[in-house]
Amino acid sequence: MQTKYYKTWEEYKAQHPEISKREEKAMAARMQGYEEAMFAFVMFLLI
Amino acid sequence: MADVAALAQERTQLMADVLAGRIPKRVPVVPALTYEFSVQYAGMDLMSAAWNLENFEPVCDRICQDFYADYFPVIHLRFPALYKTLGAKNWIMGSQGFMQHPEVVGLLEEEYDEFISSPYDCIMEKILPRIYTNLDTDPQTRSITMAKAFKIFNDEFGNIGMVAAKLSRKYGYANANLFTAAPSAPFDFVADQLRGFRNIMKDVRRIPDKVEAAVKAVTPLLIKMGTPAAPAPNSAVFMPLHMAPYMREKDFARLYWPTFKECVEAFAEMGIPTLLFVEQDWMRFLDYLYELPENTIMWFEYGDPKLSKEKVGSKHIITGFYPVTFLYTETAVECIDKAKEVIDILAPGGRYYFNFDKSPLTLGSVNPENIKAVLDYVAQNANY
Repeated sequence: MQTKYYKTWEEYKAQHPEISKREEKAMAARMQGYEEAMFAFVMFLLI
Repeated sequence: MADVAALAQERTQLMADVLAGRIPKRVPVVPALTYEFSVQYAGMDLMSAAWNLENFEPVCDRICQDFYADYFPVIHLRFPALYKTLGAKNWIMGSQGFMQHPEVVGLLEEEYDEFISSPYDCIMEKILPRIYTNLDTDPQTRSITMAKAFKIFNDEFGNIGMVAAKLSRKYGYANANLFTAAPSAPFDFVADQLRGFRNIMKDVRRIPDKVEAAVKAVTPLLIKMGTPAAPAPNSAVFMPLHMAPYMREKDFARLYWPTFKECVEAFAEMGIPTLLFVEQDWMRFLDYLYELPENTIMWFEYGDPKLSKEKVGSKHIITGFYPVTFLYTETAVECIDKAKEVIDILAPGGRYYFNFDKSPLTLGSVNPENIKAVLDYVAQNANY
């Protein structure tokens, strides 16, 4: 999806090289979960 | 408690069988009563009930006590707190407390190219602030408004999920979820709130290439919207269908069908069927519907049940066709006779569950005693 308002974890990680592998393991699912939740919310507003 | 657990197991099996295309022990009874109807039936004030989350459980409990169902029977989707917070133009509460949907235009004709280039950017930057007036402001105020709206959205759906699960345990409903998400068909998404009914009809004739490109551009977003985090058994993605009955077949074939089919096929590949609410009369398009993945669920509003069973019933799951208007105008005996007629046509061979052609919207539009009589009759008599 070509947009500046939604990022996959891989895209987010590429912008944050400071994130260690240990941090990534702990945070990736939660961070991506909020990204998905906001996407679902925005789309709901147009149905 | 053991009896309720056994009941839930039996009902879950009914749903599992019908969704898999197997003949169940009997026809499952799956009414979808609106929260608005339910509030009025429970004798509560709609405006007050719709604004306050804590009313959802007692209202639904009353419905569950009084109306037979094999699956949690109340649906609720439009939340006044959400739309008021956003300053919505697309959903407005009427004086009686009903959420009403006026015609809106979120996307201007000259913005098609921008939408085609990046639909999600265009949604965020142009369409949402146009439809939701409280987002058309400075960035700080907008971020606060979005935060409040997102909180309301999560509170409402969290409450619905919690109550549905609690009452499903209490009443022994099937472990199923036919509404995991509710994406539109891509053409409907562009038509409903982006261009509006009048504009899209003009666009189809004047600038079909733009419409086609817009519909294609938004398809990945709608597939993503319907994609479950983890597919669960006995679940379905709900997709209401709007515009096809108003289209010429050649326009439907080019502009509606390909991306709609792409969505349904994508969900099927993920292991989740689509529950299509086939609104208005789609009899002209039955041969198209047949082409969808096996065991797509088709909730028909109007049309010919016999023709539909003949054309799509050997491959897909049918529901609906029972005219909800009958429940207002006819006697209980006549309502039951109508149920017999619909079941005699649609139940043979399985791939059918009982529901009305649409959800009763208000208490004044149906006789609730007739609903009860019909649901009880089907539950007790529609055995295989």
